[in-house]
Amino acid sequence: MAVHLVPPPVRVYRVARPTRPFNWSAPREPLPASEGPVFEGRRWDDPEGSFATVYCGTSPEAAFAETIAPFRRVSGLRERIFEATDEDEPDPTYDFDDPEGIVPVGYFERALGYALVDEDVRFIDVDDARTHNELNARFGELLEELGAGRQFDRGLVMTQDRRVTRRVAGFLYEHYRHEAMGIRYESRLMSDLECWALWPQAQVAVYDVDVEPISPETPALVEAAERLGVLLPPLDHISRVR
Amino acid sequence: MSPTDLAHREATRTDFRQIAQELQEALGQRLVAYATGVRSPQAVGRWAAGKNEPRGADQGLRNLYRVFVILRETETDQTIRAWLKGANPQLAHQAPIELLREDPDAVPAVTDAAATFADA
Repeated sequence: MAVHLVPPPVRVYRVARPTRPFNWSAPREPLPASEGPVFEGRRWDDPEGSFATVYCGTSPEAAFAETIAPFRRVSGLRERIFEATDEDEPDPTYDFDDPEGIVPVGYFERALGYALVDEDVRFIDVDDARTHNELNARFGELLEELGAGRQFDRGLVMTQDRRVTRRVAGFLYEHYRHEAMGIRYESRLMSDLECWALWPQAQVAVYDVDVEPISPETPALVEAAERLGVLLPPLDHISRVR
Repeated sequence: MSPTDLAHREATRTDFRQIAQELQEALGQRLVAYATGVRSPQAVGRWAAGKNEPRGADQGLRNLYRVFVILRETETDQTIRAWLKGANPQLAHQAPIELLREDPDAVPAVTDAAATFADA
């Protein structure tokens, strides 16, 4: 039994600071011990906190979707804030009333980074049933912890509980880092968006790195925003941050 | 030391008046009041002016400041406000500001999500 390996896309994309679009910065904090769901860390971060992982998309749209999603509107939040607080005379200096569900102007200080990927390297496809079979065989204890009868499938690898995904990432790195450069996975936001978690050794496989500025008229950003229901600021507002 | 550890250290060493001043200026009184479970936004102004101590809201204020310190390294005030109020995928699509207000146990996850965003 073995995981399913797939070739990389020709190019990968990520939204990042223009000076360091592909930056294997310091590893994240180790996975905290908990009997309940854990949200710390990104989906495929090393559970031991010993190495860094860089996240990319196959398309610019995937890269944009993952980074603008935190600006989606929370239904009823504005009303809850106003109900929980009262103020007879709002202070115009210290009472901001920003529109909700809009990408802030400061986001556009980031850039769209992209790079070619060595076609000979391989990634582990965590959405493939063959990989699930391997995980089911190797993660009996974890599955028991999650409840009897649980099996790895496309649903379980989508869980937001980092106890599952980060431990899977650690296992895959430990056992397959000589065969693979990272993980291929489906975005939780939209099933047609393909993403890649690049382990540190992928630095040698990623080349011709470049960046381009982004604006509210960048087509892939417009598409991602429209699908996520996030608004974009007017173009003339962006010039203020450049 | 990680950004979250540095932020924790700064949040525990900075006095309440300065914390309140910075948060009032960057986030606005109402958002700070909401995050710390205080009904009157004007109370935040009184903390910032050194007229009152944030009794009962002190830990909430420090928690919010921890998150703010992480984000202010790379983000504008408007971006921080938008991030605090957005449906964050890393936090089960909840708004960080609501988690800070309602669940002290969620503070590590919120600071971690802030570090993730600032790192991108």
